[in-house]
Amino acid sequence: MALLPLLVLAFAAGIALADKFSFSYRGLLLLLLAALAAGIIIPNKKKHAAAVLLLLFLGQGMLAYQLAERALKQPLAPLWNVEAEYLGYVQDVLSSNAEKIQFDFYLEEAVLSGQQRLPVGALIRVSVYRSSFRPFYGQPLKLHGVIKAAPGQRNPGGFNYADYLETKNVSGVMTAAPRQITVLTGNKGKPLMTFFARVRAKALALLQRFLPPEEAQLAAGFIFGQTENITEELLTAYQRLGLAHLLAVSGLHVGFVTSLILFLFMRLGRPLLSYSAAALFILVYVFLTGGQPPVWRAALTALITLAAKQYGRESEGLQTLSLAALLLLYFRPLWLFSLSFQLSFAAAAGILLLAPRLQASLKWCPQFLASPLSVSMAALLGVLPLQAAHFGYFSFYTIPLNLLCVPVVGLVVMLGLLGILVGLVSAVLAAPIITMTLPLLLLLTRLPPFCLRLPAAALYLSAVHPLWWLLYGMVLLLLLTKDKVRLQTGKKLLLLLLLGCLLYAASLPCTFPRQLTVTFLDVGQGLAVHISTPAGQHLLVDAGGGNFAAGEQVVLPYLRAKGVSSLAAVILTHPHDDHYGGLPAVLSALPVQLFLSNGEEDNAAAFSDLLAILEERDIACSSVSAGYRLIIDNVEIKVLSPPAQRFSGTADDVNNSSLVLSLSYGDFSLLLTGDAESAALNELIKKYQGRLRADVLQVPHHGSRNALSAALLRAAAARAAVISVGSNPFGHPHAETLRLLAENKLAVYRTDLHGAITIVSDGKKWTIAAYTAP
Amino acid sequence: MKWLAPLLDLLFPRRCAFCRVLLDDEQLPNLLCRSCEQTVLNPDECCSYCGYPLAATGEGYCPLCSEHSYAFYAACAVSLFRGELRKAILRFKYGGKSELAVPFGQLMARQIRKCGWPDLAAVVPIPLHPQKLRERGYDQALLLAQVLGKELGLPVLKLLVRRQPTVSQTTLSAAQRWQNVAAAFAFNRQSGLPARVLLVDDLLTTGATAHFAAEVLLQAGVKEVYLAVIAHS
Repeated sequence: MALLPLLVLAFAAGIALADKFSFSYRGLLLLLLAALAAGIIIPNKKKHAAAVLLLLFLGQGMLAYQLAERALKQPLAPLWNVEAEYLGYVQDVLSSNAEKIQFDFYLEEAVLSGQQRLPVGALIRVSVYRSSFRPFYGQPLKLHGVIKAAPGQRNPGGFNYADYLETKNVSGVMTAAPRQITVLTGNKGKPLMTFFARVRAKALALLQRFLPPEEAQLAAGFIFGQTENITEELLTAYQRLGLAHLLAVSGLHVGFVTSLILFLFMRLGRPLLSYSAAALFILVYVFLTGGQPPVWRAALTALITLAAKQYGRESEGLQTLSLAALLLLYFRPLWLFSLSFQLSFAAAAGILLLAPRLQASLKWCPQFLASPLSVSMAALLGVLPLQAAHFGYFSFYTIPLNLLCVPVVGLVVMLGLLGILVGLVSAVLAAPIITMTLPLLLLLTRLPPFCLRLPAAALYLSAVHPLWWLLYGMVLLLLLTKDKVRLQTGKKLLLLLLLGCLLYAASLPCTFPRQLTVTFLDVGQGLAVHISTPAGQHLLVDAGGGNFAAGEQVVLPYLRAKGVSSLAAVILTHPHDDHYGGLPAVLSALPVQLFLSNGEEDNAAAFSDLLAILEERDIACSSVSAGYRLIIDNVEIKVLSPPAQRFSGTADDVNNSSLVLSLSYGDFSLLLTGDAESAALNELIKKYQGRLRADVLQVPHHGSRNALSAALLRAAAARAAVISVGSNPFGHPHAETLRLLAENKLAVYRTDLHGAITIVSDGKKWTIAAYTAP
Repeated sequence: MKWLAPLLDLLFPRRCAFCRVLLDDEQLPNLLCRSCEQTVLNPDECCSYCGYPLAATGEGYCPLCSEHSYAFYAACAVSLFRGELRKAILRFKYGGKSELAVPFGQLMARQIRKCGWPDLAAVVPIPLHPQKLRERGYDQALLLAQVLGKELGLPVLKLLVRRQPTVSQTTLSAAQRWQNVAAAFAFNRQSGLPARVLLVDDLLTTGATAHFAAEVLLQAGVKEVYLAVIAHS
């Protein structure tokens, strides 16, 4: 194997290692020096030299990561959570509409109290809600506000916003009120970038002028990779059907630009001129599209190939791709963690390594079909582990849809770019070219959502053990290295089989630890509790709110990460959006055997959706009251409240009618109070006097003032309390509640501070742990 | 750009220009692997007129050359149009691998030096009709001529133009080929006519194309025309 790909892998491994474990600079320098010294001392044998080089690159990767982290964190260190005035300019506009404006702000200078000025030099992401302010690139601003660290990963399997922003070079976040923004005069953008921003704005305006809104947004996505304004429905369809790569400017687009320029210039008989022209246009295109990882990957590979041509060398795919990766990772080490970077390189590597092999085995296929088919299949095989881990969907329509859509999108990009080029001179001349894309775009806006509604369009995948992906990788490697898999020389095959058996044994239910696990997910303001029984059955109590899409964003990713493929029961405590809002997403993705609720209904449209899904998926529904018991794998769930005769005339009947559940397994018990308030809880205390003892108490109604009482704390005598709460306008959790808890010396766990909270019990002992440190 | 070579070797490992096998360290300065090097013709053992290998060693012309009297004075080819070289030339001409012009050109230059021809004054590519150029995207003879010019330190002069598009020679029989290109070329007047020029093409089959191109050059006043091709068929 060639050395370069291995060096890149070593460099990437260094970055990943440095992310997992922190190393001191001194240790790293020592490592690098040791590697260098070894390189000098060890006799120049090829294998030794390669080992030293690999070590050197590993160390370099670690160093690169640490330097990048430092450059990101250092400038804001004195400014976290400090209210001050911040001067700088708009670097990138992410969304700009009446509801929400979001932009990246290059922070040049902070003015602290007492007119103390502090030079900064960092990017922060600013959100403004409901404002008429429209930012543009280079616009100088003065912001008054507080810079906060972006939230990290809050739940197992959840999205890590802080890491995501780091891959975008963004150090912190700020939410500003419209009146806290002062627009200053002038323009601070770099002239070239201002020019590109203007060209892009003009191009987008052209598309919007000659195309219907939805088609124009999609065209902007294809040509410039701008997906912010594409409707959620369309974007979901593209993601679930494996078409999302079309919306990231990549090899397809850059390849087109390159071949067009070469086609035009090569006939002049001046190779150098045509290569230079192609390189220039590629770079222009990169900057026009905003320079995301996939376009840089494609551009660098194209540039390297052009350089090879200029020097009369045949470029080799894998070498070129490796060099592109090395360059990108050297300058932007944190891109290693960017999903688009990973997907782009995985697809490219898959195509390079597997496509020729697949094409060779597609002899029965007509030539015009074999080539694109093998490319699509190879790319899919390359990205499959990533796609399964991040999106959790697999579609059988991916390959045929790609075969159809790739050339169509190619045509749209070609006509679109040509139209824009002409349109920069004359809009009238551009009109026919741009309108020519309309039938193609109509197909591309209609077909994917239609396909998504077909049966088996998007199969839900729960997480599989990483070892399975290792096995998958080994099979691919086998496919790659061997012409034919022969049984008699099958040492590798034997190894594979052994690994397969091991994995199978590991996944058998008997190897599960016999423990009860209860997890309070951080769904913001709301409640979602996942219960995993000792024998591996799963229950869900509530699923957070619909406003923040807790179902799609938190609960489903969590369940997927935990390998949950079906739910034995889903319990809804009461029909408020912050409890049932996430349920439709969960119920439509996973098979559910039983749905329990207090039988009350909500008038909101979202609740009708929930009922429709229950009906459609044919889930057994049951309305339960005090006295109902559910026993699964020795875990007993008892309904304590409300009584069959529901509460009426209390301060809040809906909340008071919330199901109150007592969960017990062996000696361990947990009291889930839902949103019950004092009226219901006092009733409960009276009725179950002395029988309410619980080790852990879920603080009722997100810590509201008129829910938790000293009497309840006495009755439960819990040692730990969990408050499921997020940012809210009601003042939850109330200071009085917190004081009560502190007085009674309960260990308090809050989802807004601690992220997901997990309780584990073997029926005798129990532990409680927070997913993140506050 | 000598200092760039090691870096280029790392990024774009050298492969044999014919069979694309990776060259190991020993072979690195070469353009060909050992087995492909064996297929390179020795000019001493070839027809000194058309460059085709002779059946028996010794001074002389091959039987074909006694039938035609070519307008070019002498020709040399790197190797024969078969096997790996055939595939390589097809990649070069029709597979978009224009970068192969560099190793091919260098091999041709090496071969010319071996021939011991008198001092040449310019390199002239056999022109491609603009229509073909549009189809293919590049002019392979021109690319070869540019590399040769650089290697031999000679200017590249486009002394010839195509009068009309001709049918591809590959589709025709030997006799038709002569008719096909009989009036294909015209002289492209330039100041300072060189005395002895090197005509460059990729392939030599019947010699018809090169013959008529050389004839035009001779009529225009060039004294002697030599021909270099990658492969002889």
